[in-house]
Amino acid sequence: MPLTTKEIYWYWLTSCPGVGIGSVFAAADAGFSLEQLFYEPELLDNSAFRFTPDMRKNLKERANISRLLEEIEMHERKGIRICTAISPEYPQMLKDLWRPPATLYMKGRLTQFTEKSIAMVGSRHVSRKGAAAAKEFAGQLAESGITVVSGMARGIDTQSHWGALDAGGQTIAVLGCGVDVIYPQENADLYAAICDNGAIISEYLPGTEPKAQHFPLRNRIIAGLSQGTVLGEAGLRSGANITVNYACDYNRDVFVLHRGDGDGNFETVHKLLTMGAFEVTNAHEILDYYGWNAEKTAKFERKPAAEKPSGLDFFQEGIYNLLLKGDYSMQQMIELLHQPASKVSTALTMMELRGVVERLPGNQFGLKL
Amino acid sequence: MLASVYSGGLNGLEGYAVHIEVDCAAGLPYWEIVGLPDAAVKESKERVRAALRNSGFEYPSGRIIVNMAPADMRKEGPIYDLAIAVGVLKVSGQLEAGAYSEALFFGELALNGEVRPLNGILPMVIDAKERGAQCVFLPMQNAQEASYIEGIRIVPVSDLKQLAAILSGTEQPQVVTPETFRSLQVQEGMADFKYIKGQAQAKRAMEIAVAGNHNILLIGAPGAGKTMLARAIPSIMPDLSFEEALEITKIHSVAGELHGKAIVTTRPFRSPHHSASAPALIGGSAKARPGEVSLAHGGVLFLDELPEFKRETLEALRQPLEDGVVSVARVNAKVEYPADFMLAASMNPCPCGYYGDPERQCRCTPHQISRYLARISSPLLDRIDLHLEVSRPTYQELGSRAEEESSEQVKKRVDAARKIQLERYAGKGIFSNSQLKGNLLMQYCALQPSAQALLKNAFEVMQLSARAHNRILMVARTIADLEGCEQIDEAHLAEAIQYRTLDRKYWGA
Ligand SMILES: [Zn+2]
Repeated sequence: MPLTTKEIYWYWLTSCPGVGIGSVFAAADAGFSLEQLFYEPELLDNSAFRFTPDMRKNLKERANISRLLEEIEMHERKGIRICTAISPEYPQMLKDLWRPPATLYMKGRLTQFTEKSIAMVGSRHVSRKGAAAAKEFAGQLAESGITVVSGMARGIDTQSHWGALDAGGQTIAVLGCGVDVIYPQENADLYAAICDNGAIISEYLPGTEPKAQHFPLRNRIIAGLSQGTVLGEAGLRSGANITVNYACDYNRDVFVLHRGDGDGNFETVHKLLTMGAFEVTNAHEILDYYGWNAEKTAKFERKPAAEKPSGLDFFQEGIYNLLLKGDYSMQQMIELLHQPASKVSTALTMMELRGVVERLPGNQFGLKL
Repeated sequence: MLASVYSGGLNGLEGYAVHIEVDCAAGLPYWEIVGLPDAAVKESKERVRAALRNSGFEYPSGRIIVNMAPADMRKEGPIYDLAIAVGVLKVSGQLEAGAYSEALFFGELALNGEVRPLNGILPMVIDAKERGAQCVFLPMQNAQEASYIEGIRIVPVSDLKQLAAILSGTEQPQVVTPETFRSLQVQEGMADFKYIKGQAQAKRAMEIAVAGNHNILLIGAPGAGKTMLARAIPSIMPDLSFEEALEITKIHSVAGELHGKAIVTTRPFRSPHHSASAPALIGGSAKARPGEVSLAHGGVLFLDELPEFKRETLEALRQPLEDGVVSVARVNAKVEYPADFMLAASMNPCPCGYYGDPERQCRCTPHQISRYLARISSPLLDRIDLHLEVSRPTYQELGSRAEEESSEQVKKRVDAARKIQLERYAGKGIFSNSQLKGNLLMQYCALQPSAQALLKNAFEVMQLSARAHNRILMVARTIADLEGCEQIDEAHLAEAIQYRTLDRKYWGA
């Protein structure tokens, strides 16, 4: 849908780096319409706006309709849509926030935001179990028609997006850089998959590089877009804490996913549990909490502990039983099983090829989760 | 008057004869050396003059011309002091050397007349013997080094006075009695597998690597014991033959790395620091000295912290890894040194060192890890058959009382596997599994359909990179040889697959 002139004025003002919704409010307070500002750019010098000389220069140079249309067309050619806070598709849930993002840039198939959205956040550095728990939980949410919102960072974010995508569901990634900047780079596959099955959104102008100060602000959008926020494995210093704080500020719910604890750093999870956060182990509990109906036939039962695979020889079965207790290094297995290295190596390759075990960094082995 | 004396020189490891003529004519004092002398040879005038005077001889007045032939070979170093001094003594009538007129003289003179040791004595004496020389005078401190050469009279001298006494027949020479060679491969105090607690998988990988002459890369956190493991590799390598020992000794002699040893009896272990320059590693610099790759000839070259080495330094390793020799350019010629070594390298799994560590959290991003790995050029990585992840031993392992297998026991299995390979490849131009390629690889690593299926399955499930294919076959061949099996089976392949860590997708992904 082409932008209305009102939206174009809005875009003109809010796409200037450093200008936010506060400037729009300031204009209203001073009694100016955006159209007035656009055609009488000297009004921008009014001290009520507190614009810097750079901002004034930017706005005055760009106060030209044909130039703005060119800019918008350039974004569209890159598949980027502009969604201003006065656009009809702007998510209702963000409008409720104090100082919502003035303009969102969006990429991807998803155009209609739903209220059935849940954020999933956690640490960038996570244990294998913490990561697997988040992925599985996101998959359960997505299977029942809930949109999973996260930040495409490493760790829990990445796992949550993939969980939703692998379950055939919908997911939204909110970035701390332009929507055309893939960060972190290794998530290029994930970025493409989200574009096909969800949306990448950001309040930063396309082309903006990721900066440390962007991420806390990005987290307010993640919390704001979601009815509730699920916290997975996270240490006390994780940025996920910021998202949780925003969720509380916005009167949204905070859930903690207390699964896979043991290996990783679950300090924030423990802290929130003592503060009375709602503990979840299964997406069903979230549906119940909100009284939502699962839209698709959902398979909710937690995967039962994997059946012992058949066809293992006696020695391989010994390895299997050992790995049921946890991950072990090759060296530990050699000692615990009192077998030569050659035999253990051979058995582990055979078991890996059958999809029973998984080799992990550091010469560690674990059962395939 | 004209006197004639013989000596020799070195070009790389090859010796050549040097004929020195000293002429003395009446006139004002004058001294000239001709025949491409370097600075050290030119300065021999001062050393010879002082040594003669301080040994109770006269330095003749008059015009002295020293001519060194052949004129087209550059004469280097202080080798010729002794020969020139003998020439001056003869030409000035202070010495008759009738019985020793065909002898060769090697040695540097100190100002007080003492004879100082030289580098490169072994190859020079071997060359002299091969050219039919009967008798060699050399510095006392080099006597041990030359003692393994039979069929030539070796007369060590400690100073100029003693030399003159022997030449004039007033003192009996103490001829060196030839020693018989005994390889001392496993020495007490040498790094031995029995002193390494636990690390069973690492030891197994070392055994395979040595058995098939494969290069190996050890990956692990700081403190995992990578260096200790690498140091133990020579202890399981086959014994040195006399010819091998002599060749290694020649190289070490030329480089001045014998440190008083007569002959190198153990396989070398060289571990140059990562700040080493390409000439230090490959050879070259001013005197075409052998580099670390040649000093490691017949033994192990250990590159600790591989990604820290400069890229061009690692690139320079390709020729020796491929050909087993290096060419070193010098002023007017190229010198070749042998450089056939087993490469052992180590690296951290990531810049911080703790990727995959069960106890400490790695703080590297995947991007940093892949950049770190990319520092090792892939042609070099292609020459490394085994990748081994070494984990830090646990306290239980360190405290374990279990009896560890000794290097001697491991070596027996290695020797047996090497013997199988030597017999199999007789007349094929190669001698170990690590050299298999092309048709020979297809012939000797042929797989039964079931093994073929396993390998194919592994590539799919583990997403191995294509370069792993031949390496897995070669290592599986060695594992089969260690078991004495003619046919590579599934178990051999399955074990070999565990040693291709860096080809796995999760690595740095
Ligand atoms: Zn690291």
